[in-house]
Amino acid sequence: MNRLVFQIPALLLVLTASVANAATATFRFGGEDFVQKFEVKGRAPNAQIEFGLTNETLQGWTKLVTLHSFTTNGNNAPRAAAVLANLIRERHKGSKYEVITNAKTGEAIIDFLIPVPKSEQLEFNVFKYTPAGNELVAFQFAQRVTLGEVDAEELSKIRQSVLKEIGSYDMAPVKAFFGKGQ
Amino acid sequence: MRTIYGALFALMLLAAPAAASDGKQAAAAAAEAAQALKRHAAHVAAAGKRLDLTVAPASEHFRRVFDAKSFAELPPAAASDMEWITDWIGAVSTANHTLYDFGADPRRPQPDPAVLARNVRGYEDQMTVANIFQQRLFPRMLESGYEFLASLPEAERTPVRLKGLAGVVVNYLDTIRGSICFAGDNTIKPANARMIAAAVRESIDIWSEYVEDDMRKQFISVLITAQQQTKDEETAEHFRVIQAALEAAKS
Repeated sequence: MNRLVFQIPALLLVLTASVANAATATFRFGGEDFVQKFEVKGRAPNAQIEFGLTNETLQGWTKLVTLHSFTTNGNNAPRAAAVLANLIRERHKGSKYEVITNAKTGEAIIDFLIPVPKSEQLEFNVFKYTPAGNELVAFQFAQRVTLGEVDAEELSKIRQSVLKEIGSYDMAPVKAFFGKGQ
Repeated sequence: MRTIYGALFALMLLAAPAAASDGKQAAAAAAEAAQALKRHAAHVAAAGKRLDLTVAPASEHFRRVFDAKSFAELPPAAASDMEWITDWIGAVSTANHTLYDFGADPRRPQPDPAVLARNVRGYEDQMTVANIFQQRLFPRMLESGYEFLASLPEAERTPVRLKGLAGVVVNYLDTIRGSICFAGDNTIKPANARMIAAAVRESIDIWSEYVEDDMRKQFISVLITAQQQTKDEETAEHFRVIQAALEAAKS
């Protein structure tokens, strides 16, 4: 009985710490901190968690980081990126996209530019997929720009900068966030 | 009553086989079936159900779009194919989009990777059929396109037309690269992987002509990963042969 009494508060403490840790999780990208804001529902057994800048809402964001966990489709990052490329090609005809794969690390990166419906904005997206054991995780960065405020040259600079950073981005914290090992 | 006649007419369209070697008719049937599949999928999604591509009407729509039999019976490619082949490519694109995006929230502009993952898993057999069909459709489109350009006076070979054809080459190569990634996976059914990899291998003389040096490195990279991933020896052998051919072409 005594043992149980001690175990329950200990368990509660662990649970509380986990929740607090999840609620305050932060990812740094492009010199900015992104704080956890939202978990997309209905994704189980996969997961999709969105992180935004502290001063932005999830409705009016200009930059967003999303972490993805895929548990049932294997750990093939190039395939995940290629399938996403297929979707982009069919869904946003004429949109620019590029897939880069790395046979040594087993990772794959895809970036693409799509229009935001009913707006003057374009959305630049980049995903980095990496194997996590027999599963897959992905780090997604998205940035929205308004036409007229950013020209093609600036957009190209943003893209190059993001691709450079994500190319060397350490995915270990993303795996750790989902409780996955190497 | 009008609805009944309409339904009967639709059934007749579904049941009537496209005349052999009539690309225009087959492409028109494919275009109509792709739209029907899209509407049906939207209806099923709205009802909160999964799209079942193994039963009618979805299976019939799908078969019409990826009508390999009619396609195989076509006469050799010609410039005149341009009258209909773009319609067929459009139909394939619509059907692919329907499969990949089924169940995604249409209000969200962003792709939904979780939905995509579920559909790739659930519709693997159909995606295999679609993939192999595209691997045969693109070369014909290119051949017809170049025949068409050659038939035009110099002044009518406009930058827009040349750019359009270059875009088809890009899409074709992306399809091939995607095929290697799709087949080179440790979760795909071995039979599907073998069929896709064999189709890529069979057409290597066609697509490798368009692969430039920097792109070749990326192709070899995905082939290495695919060989590491696949658990099927026959599929791995296809990949080894393709990689060797690309490396030989480099030197």
